[in-house]
Amino acid sequence: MESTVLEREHGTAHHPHVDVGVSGMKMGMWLFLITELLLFGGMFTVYAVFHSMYIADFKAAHHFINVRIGFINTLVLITSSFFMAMAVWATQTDRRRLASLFLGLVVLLGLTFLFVKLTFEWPEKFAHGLNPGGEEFMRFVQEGHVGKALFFSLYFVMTGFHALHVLVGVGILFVMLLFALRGRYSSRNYGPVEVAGLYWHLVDVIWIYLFPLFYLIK
Amino acid sequence: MNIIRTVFIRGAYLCKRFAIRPYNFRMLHLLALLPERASKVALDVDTVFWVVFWLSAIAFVGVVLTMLVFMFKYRAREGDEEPGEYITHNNAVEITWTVIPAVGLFAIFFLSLHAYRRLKYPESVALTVNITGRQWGWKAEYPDGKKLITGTIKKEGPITPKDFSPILYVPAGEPVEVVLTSQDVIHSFYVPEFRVKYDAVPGRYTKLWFQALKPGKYPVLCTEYCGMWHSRMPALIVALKPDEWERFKSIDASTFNSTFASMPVDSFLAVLRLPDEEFAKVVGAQKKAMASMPLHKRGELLYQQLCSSCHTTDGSRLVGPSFKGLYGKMEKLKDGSTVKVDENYIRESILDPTAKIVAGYPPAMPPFQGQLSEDEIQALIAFIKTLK
Amino acid sequence: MIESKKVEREEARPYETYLDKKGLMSWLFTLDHKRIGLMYLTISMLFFLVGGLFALIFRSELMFPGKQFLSPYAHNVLFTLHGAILIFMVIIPMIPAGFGNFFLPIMVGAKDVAFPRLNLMSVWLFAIGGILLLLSLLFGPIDTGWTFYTPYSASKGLNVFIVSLAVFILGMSSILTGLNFIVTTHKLRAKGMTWGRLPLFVWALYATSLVQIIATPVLGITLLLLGLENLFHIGFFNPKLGGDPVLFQHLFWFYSHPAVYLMILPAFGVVSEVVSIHSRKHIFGYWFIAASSLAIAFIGFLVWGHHMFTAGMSPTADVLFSFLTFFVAVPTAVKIFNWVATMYRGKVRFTTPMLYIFAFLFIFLVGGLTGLFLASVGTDIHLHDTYFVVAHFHFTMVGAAVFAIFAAFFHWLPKMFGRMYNERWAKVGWLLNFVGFNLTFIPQFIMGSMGMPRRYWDYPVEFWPYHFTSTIGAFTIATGVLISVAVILHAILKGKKAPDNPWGGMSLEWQIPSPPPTENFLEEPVVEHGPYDFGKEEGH
Repeated sequence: MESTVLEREHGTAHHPHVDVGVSGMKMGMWLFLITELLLFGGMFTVYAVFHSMYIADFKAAHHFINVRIGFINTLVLITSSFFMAMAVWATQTDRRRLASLFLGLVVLLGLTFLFVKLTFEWPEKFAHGLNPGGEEFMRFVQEGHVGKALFFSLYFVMTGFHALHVLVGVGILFVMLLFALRGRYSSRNYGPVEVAGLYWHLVDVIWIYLFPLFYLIK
Repeated sequence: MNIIRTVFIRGAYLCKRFAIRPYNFRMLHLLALLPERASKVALDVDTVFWVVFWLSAIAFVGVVLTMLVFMFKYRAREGDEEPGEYITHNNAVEITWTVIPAVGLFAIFFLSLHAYRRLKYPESVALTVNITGRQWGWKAEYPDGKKLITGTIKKEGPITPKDFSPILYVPAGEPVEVVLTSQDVIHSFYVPEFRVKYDAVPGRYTKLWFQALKPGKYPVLCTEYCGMWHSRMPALIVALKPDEWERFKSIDASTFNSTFASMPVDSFLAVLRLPDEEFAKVVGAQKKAMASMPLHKRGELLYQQLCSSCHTTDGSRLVGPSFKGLYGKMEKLKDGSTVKVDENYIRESILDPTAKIVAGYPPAMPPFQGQLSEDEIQALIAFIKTLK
Repeated sequence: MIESKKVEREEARPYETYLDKKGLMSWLFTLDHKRIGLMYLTISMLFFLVGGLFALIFRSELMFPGKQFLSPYAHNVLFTLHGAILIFMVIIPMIPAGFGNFFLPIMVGAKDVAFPRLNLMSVWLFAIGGILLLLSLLFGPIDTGWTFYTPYSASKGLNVFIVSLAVFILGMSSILTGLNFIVTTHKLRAKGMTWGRLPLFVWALYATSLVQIIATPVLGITLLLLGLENLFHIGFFNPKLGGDPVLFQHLFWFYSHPAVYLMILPAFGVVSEVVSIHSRKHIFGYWFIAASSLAIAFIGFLVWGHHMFTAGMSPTADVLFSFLTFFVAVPTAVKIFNWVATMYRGKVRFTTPMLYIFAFLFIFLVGGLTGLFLASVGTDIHLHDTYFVVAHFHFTMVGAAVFAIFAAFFHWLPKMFGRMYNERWAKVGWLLNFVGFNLTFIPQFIMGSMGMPRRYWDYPVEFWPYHFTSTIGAFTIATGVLISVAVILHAILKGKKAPDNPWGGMSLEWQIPSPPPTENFLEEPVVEHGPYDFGKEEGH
């Protein structure tokens, strides 16, 4: 027997329904977001330590960073967060088609962010040999400017992890878009959209901290 | 049954072999909790240890006895299904047994601060020595240039401090500072009888200090896991009597480094204890021998100190290629190219081992850049040339 | 035969128990927290035997000085895997993810945890992480020690990366469980189940879950960075590339110290349950015990530097961490006093669970008090990285946590399976475990303070008597463990039918049938009294 989306949502035949409500879902998502903050917090700590050890090198490394692309991507993410908030509002007020539209825009902008990073930004750096193990990177080490090398290690690791989180977010939101188009969410069932929104806002906030650390440091 | 028999037979054999006669175990010695106090700061450390020990013992016995008494006094008798008395809490009791232990604990903290201060800050320093840890041995360098190197004990049989080589000769009764670092991974320099220990960390310098109370030999053990031979890179600190120390200081660095440095402890101590004339003669003779020592012989000494833990001279493979027949050989490298082993190749491999790695061997050799003089490198090359 | 038994069971019980549905798929895709708990217990138990076996092997090598049969590399691999397997696959998850999953929802009066599908994902991640750990052996078994200090562990290669990934995945499993427990405790308590009527096991799990949420991600990122270092040489922890090996230690211990509280807090919860129920007496100092769990969780985050007194921290940091470490001893001592006071004027039964509690208190006292030697910086410098530390953490982690695990098994087995275990053989196992444990680890204290370093494949011959005795003890524990496991298995498969409430407990799990129905409660639970109100009504 093919179980419908609604049946699966409300528990299966062999398992009782457990309902923690929207507040429960939000509590769960906040707890998860705390773990994400600590995950990135570890990386920010590493950045802080090496920044204080190699201030001059970090500033010099900035020469190789493309601020314009970074700025564009920042705008892209902030706009997507706005659309995400709109999607939540639309779901809560039973504006089904509008909600789907907004969700779709978030997905689109998320993909744009990744596209810009992976087709313009990173390849440019790899071409210059700035990646760990690359020519320019190893030259920094040999010259004694290890701080510059560490800056780029941090750049790739931190923006890489962030991009991974954007990708996962885009994936989840895409699935939610499909569900939304099929009428799954409404003012009586908006929890999943709201908590997805929380996640997406976190991804945005983390980028807002990353941006100055890598793009604006001078 | 066979296993038990084997255990007993092996145990008996070991006892005989190492003269640890069972009835001579001196049971109290076995239950001694700390080694002999051989440094000035050991008494401070041990005082804290014993205070904590007795306070803990009293607390332990108190709680366990109370628990046993309660368990037996208030045990449920046969068939008794009744619950115990309805007591839920007692705030006064709670506060008491929170405050009293807290006070005791902080007393211990302040007491241990005193010992810590003594461990960290010497009042003065009579001698500073630089020690570098490596996989798997130690290197010491004195201000006047004297160097001592210890290596890895690889034999399968049991080891004892008699097998350890000296890493430091120090004056007894005077404060000595050791500046530590590592050339590869983290090691730790631990002298149990002195109660001192500090990690040797690559990329930075760390310090410890000690003052030996009396002359003697004190084992040094590596205490930060550093790989395969972590348990077999011990050494000895040899504390000397004042006159022996004066003798030691009088030997110049290059003579010492090429001769006395690799002498077994007892032989060297015997030299230091010779009457003046004899001593001068021995040192003079060593100086002459060193001057006229063939280059390859000097190389052999260096080989034993620095290379033998990973390279053999008989053709067998250890960590690195054997030196037998090495000179003049056509060696196949990791990147597929071939190279002829000549003076330049050997020199490069000593200073920058990862430049041209032989195929089939790991990139495990540490670089000796900055640690060997040109003379020493030439000596090694000369020695390798003799190994056909 | 089986048919008629089934019919008989269904006639006797008009409801479905959680064990009734058969078939592999019904287990692999279950959303039932009780089945998930059992799967955790099974996987953990298997890894427990593997990790224990590794210990037996290297303790055999260490029984005599000199090489017996293991190469140094093999020995180093074995102690590394022994630590990694037992910490990540056994001691951390077994009580919370095993017994916690099974009993937390029941104890608060719920039908399941807040997010049953996340719970299923948790146990899948757990299994995957365990498999990856074992798979890493194919790429060259790691010999870095479970603490992975750099630079030694930074230049190994794919095997360290795979282990890092495995531990990261296990960490995700841990986080999801903690998240689930917190939301369950807040949102799914039954009517009348106030915070003050929660069993202390729930409080313990709650405190544990908070630590899991905050600490685990830091280990996750640290090991991931280590894995990336091995693959791409990013240089954070490699001095040759400008990195700092001591930074690794700070990041590692920031998680791994709270991790030890992950290991002990659930055990403390078990002790509270067993000591009260098997003394048939109200727990003494309920709020003090609950608060101390939270205090330990909090203070536990402030003391990580006490693992690094010889690593290169400033003297100010040394002193600060030492001071804070003494703080954590206070709530711990308070708990012990409260448990002993619970027995006062109680009706103590010498059941196997209670014997394990006695052993726990004895052993944990030693473990905790020896921690004081390590908290004092002055003595720690002498004792750091010696067998004294090894003995200390085995007394706290094995003696305490493992004994609590056995107490939990024997205490809750009748409830989980509706069957009783054999008391006599269980007690034989207990005796061998207790005696064997002391025989193994007390000599290690002595040789540690005499200067015997840890992680040594071989040792100066002077330390031989201690190593010899310790190995004898290890084999004794092995016998005790095997007997205990056999008793448990026999009980599950062939044990005599047990009553629903053999110990006379008053918390919710003892008010439902054994084994529990699929939906836990046959009717909506309404809570009118606390879980330890023994003797209250009769006005004793």
